[in-house]
Amino acid sequence: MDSILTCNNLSKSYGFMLALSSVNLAIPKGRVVGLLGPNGSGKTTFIKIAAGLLTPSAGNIFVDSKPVSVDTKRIVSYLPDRTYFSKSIRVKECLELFADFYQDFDMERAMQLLKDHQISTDAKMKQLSKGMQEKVQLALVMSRRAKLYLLDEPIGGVDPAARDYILHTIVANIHPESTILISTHLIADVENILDDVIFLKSGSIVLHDSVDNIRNQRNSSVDALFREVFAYA
Amino acid sequence: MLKKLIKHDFLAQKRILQPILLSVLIAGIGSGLLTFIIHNIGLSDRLGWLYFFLVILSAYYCFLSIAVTAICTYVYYYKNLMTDEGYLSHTLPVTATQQICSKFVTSLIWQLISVICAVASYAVMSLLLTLTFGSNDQFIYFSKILQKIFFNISVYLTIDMRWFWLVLLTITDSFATVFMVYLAISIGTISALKHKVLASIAFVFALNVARVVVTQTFLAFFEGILANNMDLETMIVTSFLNIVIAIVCFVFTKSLMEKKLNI
Repeated sequence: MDSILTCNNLSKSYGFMLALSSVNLAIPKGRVVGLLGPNGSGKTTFIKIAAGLLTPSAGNIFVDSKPVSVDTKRIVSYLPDRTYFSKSIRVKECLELFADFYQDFDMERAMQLLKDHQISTDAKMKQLSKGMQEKVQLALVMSRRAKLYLLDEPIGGVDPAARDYILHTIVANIHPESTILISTHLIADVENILDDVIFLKSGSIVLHDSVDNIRNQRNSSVDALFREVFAYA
Repeated sequence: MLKKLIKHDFLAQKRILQPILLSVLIAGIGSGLLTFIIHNIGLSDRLGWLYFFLVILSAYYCFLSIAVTAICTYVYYYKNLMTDEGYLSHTLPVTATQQICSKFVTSLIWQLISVICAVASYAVMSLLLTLTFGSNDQFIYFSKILQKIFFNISVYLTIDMRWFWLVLLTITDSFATVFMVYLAISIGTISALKHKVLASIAFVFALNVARVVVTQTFLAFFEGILANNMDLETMIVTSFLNIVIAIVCFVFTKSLMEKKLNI
């Protein structure tokens, strides 16, 4: 099966602190993959490298067989773990920005998602709550027909009802050809939408398997396995 | 993509700078008009201090706005590329060169607009003051002094096409300054773990000192004497040095963004 994301001996260090240690990985196309691990395990660092926000200290990473570059940014839709729009910008200006820069951006889809949540396109970002700002970002990111979606903690820090909405938005907008990489430590909430899981511990991959295998061969849920692997001794 | 980037960068800075530059126009025209009204309704004796205060304040504000505009464009560079906003800017399908060039072009455009606004505001205020105090002896005396100064400068500039070199020096100085500040911000934010803004400001001063030392050393070496700002050769050599400094700063900034980005 073709891989959308491949990395060979990928390492990243911040000074003396090793955030990723010789990660080897191949994520096939058309899968929903959970990048799971406790806080500080290297999930965000990995996603930031794939998105082109960080440069690796060693090793290589390829998106759709190309090194991370302008070309890969065209096919990657990235949702960071924070809000990134200027507070003075209007929602409609955010839409224009995405429409201008991303050829795969579906304006109608974005408008519908915003309408579903009664977010006015005339509103300024500073007039919206943090949760609403996150929903605007999610609507924009999921309105792209990207080959790879990188979603960093999309349900972190939101209430259970908002989590359901976010996951529903993600699932409803999955394209068969697209791959979604979701980083989270809230396993129980995302377990049902995942095809594969990657467990990351102290910057290293300790498990990469399909959810079906975990359920059938290990006779365990992903959540239970996660608790077992990351149990505090 | 560069055009689109310039469009969005220009609009983003417009949200901040438009109110500032409008206030500059209002301040100049307003204080001139107020002075004209107060004088013509015969309240100069009682409210003379008010228009004197407003005119001085507006004149300072006009020229301060040019510096404020430049600082705002540098803050925009920092916010757009080095803070949370960078999570969007650096994941757009554009190169580091396009990002830097877009910020550079829009910064220069806004600085030019601010100069035009300041000069326009100052000119309207001066016109209204002339209409108000046109017959005043003291005003005529000061006008004559200003005319003489400007005449002497214009005579000086026409020698050996000095006006051309002065314009070139001004343009290249702007180029070098903008790229130097971008480099300082990039080094400051990428190298510092905390207090990134303070680190950036420190690097602005450090790079500025380095620039002055390099320029003066080069001029001393080139001419055998320390530079005299109004000297023709000095203007030509400094313009050339400014271009070199701008290119060096651009290359380093681009390299930092491509290889050491850490937001």
